Order: sequence, then C-alpha cells, then structure tokens
Amino acid sequence: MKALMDNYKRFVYLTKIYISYYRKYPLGLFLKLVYLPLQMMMYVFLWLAISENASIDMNYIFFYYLYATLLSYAFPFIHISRDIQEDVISGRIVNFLVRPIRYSTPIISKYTAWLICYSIVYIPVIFLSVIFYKISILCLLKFLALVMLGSVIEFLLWYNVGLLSLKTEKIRGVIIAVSAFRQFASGALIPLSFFSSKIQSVLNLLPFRLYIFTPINTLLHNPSNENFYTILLLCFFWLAVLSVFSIFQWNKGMQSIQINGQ
Amino acid sequence: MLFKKIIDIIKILIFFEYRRAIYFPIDTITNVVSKILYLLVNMVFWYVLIDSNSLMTGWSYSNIIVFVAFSELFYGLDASIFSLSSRFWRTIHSGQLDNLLVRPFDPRVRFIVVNIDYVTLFVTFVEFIVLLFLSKLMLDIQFILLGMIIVLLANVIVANIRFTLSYLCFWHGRMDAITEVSDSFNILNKYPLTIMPKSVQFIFQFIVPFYFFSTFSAELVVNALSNHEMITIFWGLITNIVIWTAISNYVWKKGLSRYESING
Repeated sequence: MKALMDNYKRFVYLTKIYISYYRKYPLGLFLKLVYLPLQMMMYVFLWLAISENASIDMNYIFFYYLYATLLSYAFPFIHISRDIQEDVISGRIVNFLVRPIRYSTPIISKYTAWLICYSIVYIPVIFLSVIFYKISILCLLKFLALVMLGSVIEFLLWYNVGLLSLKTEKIRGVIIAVSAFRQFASGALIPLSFFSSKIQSVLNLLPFRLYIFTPINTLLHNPSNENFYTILLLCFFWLAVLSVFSIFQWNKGMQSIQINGQ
Repeated sequence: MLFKKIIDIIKILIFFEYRRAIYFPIDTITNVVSKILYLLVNMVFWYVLIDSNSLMTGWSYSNIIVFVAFSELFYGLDASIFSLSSRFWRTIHSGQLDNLLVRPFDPRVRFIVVNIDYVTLFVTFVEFIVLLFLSKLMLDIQFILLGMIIVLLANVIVANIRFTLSYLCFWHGRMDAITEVSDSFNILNKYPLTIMPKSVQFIFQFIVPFYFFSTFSAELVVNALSNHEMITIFWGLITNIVIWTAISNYVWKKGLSRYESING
C-alpha cells in the first residue's frame, strides 16, 4: 500500500512538471488549432459533396467529425509505442530496474499532463455543441466519463504495442498496422453506424471504438441508461485485459531482455 | 559525375536495407503487411460510402480506385523519399550540416538520398499497379506515365516547401512545430479536391501544389478534364515549381550566410 502511495505521489509530481513544461512551450498546443480546422475543412467539404446525392444529417456529421478529430489528434499516440521501442533498442529501459520509480509512471504522467493542457481546446467545442446541438448536461457528463475511460484504454493499447518491442525489438510495422486498423475500427474515419450490422457487431467487441465512436455516439444520440452501463462494463473489461497483458509482457520481457545498446 | 555518385550511394544503401530486412525479418514483414492494411482501410472507406449510395458527382467507384492509386503513389513516394525534408532543421540545428557542407554533394540532395526507404518504395509501385488493374478501366498508358510524373513533381514541390520551412531554423532555432504543420499537408491527399469550392481549388492549383498530389493525375487518367482545363492546370503546376524552387533556394542561401554552426 505504501509503495502504491509513493508511486502515486511521484506520478502527481511528474505530471505537474510536465504541465509546467507544456505551458512553457505552448506552440505545440496552438498548432493543433491550425491543424484541426484543416482536417475539419476536408471532412465538411467531402460530406457536403456526398450529401448532394444522399440524404445525410450534416449537423450530426459536423459534430461527429469535430469530436472525432479532437479525440484522434489529442495526443500523438504512436509516440507512446515508438518511445518504448527506442528505450528498448538503446537499453534505457533497464535503467528503471534500479530506479525507485516504475517505467510506466513518467509515460503516464506525460500523457496525463498533455491531456490536461489539451482540455482547454475542448471548452469552446463543448460550448458550441451545447448551443447548436442542444446537448443535455447528463449527456455531457456521460460523454466526459467515457472519454476519460476511453483515453486510458487508448493509452494501454499503445503501451502494449510498445512493449512488443521487448520481444521483437523493432515494431515499426506493428505500429503502422495497429494505427491503420484503429482508424477503421474506432470510427475516426467514418461513423461506425455506416457499416453493415455484421461488421458493427464484430467491432463492438473490440476496444478501438471505446475512445472515439462510443463517447461521441453517447453525446450525440443519448443512449438509454441500460446501454450506458453495458458500455461502462465493456470499458472496465478492456481496462482489466489490457492492464494484465501489459504486466505480463513487462515481466516476460524483463526475464529475457539483453541490452547491446548504450 | 554527380549522377554516378548518387547511383553508387543508392547501391550501398540498397545493400544496407537488404541487411536490415534480414536482421529484422518480423519488422520487415509487418511493415509490408501494415501498408497493405492501410490500403485496405482506405478501400473499405470508399466501399462503405458506395454501399450506402453516398458517392460524389463525377466519381464512380472505378474512378475512385484510380484516385486512390495516385493517392497511394503520392503517400508512398513521400514516405519513402521526401518526408524527412520536414526534419532537415534538425541537421542544421545540431550542427551536422558542417559534415554535409564539406562533402562534394548538395547537402539537401544527400539528405534525401541517404534517407530513402527502398522497401516502401517497392511496395508503393506494386500497390499502384494492382490498384490500376482493380479499377477495371481501359486506361491510356501515356496518361498514366504523365500522371506519375505529376505526382513526383508534386512531391518535389512539397519537399521544397518543407525544406523552406526547415531553413527558418537558421533564424529561429528549434522547429518541431514546423515538422508537425508540414506533415499535416498529407491530409489534403485523402479525398479528391474537386469537393472544394472553385476559389479554394484555384489556390491549391496556383499557389500551393495540393491539387497535384493525386486529384489532377486521377482526373487526367480517367479523362475528366477538357483540354482547356488541362492546360490551365498545367500552368498552375509550372507556376508552383518555379515559385517554390526560387523561394527555397533564396531562403537556403540567405540562411547559410548567417549559419554559425553553433552546436557543431
């Protein structure tokens, strides 16, 4: 219990340091504000062109992609895996075996700090959607709860991909493959409701949609409480599976790792 | 002479790439598989739209496949040859530029040549050819070759823009932000830019080269343009080449004149 509390204190301390760091270099955050409208412009014009031949609720599409873009680019998720791969190749990862801090703690702190800083971008978007899409406070709360759970799942997913490098060293191909599949299965590319019911039923079982499609759909379609609790259960199930798998990978990897780097 | 040196370097690099592929077989295989997966995801996106009767005017599914072929060609050439141009500022900032300046090679050309990813390049051309076959259209080989040259030129122009942004490092130091901004140009290769209003299309044809990423080549190959439109847009391509080559060279020379190799 004491070890857990110590680790928590270190996590909080590191998160504060990272927040100060990001505040000192705010350009990265402001660049998102340049990047996001460019992405949105493409989606809006694409669906406007499509809507000439099909009946499409442009209001829904606009808000769907607004949130999907915000969530997709909230953090360079690929970097989580890539950084772990570099730590394995260079041998830096074994330094943590003799340090009084877990390897995952600084990575989680960095991620948390960035999401806290990034949340400032959400405020105008939420304000906009409450006014124009008439979203209720309850929906908003459900959305925020699911986004928080989804962001942990998303982190664990990329953390697990990164830990694969303990087995194969280079994981560039795996990262690209997961990234491609995630785009398709998360709803970032196209709302999952456009897929056939068979594909949807398969994708519903996977964790990819829990960060993008599920929260956005909850926000814009307000599912029943029963559905919401089922989604929560699925979130906790995937949290447990991904956590256990990451511990397994770490323990297995540390037993066999050989460092030939720096 | 310079051409022979480039060929010699490429030969050595292909050998290194081969050794790397042998040393990391799982990574090589997953790398190739992931590229195919990316392509499949792209195709599924358009298939889902077709399936729900949601296509754009003037773009049948076959035409879209031709567009995707050129889009993949652009992405592939960018990823395998040109994408690192947005990171050239690191070479300047770290002082590694010193090493490049004393060699009998233009540092920018050497930087590009040394960083070519041959596996990606090979897979790109295979994907491109397969996609053109999948379109099931009777395509004119001359237009296909012309389309490929246009995509290559678009890559060169974008590399020039990225280099120009990288050169700002001579004045402002670290340029991480620029890397992210210039990498975001690739978004404009996802969908045919005919979806944009005419005014935006004009900007993308005559001021920045986004229209030439894949839209123009696909339109040429599927005969979607009149002669007048074709000639006008070609002028846009020439304008882009001239403007961005001139700007890039000017900023490079100005930057070099104040280079002090602070970290070298």
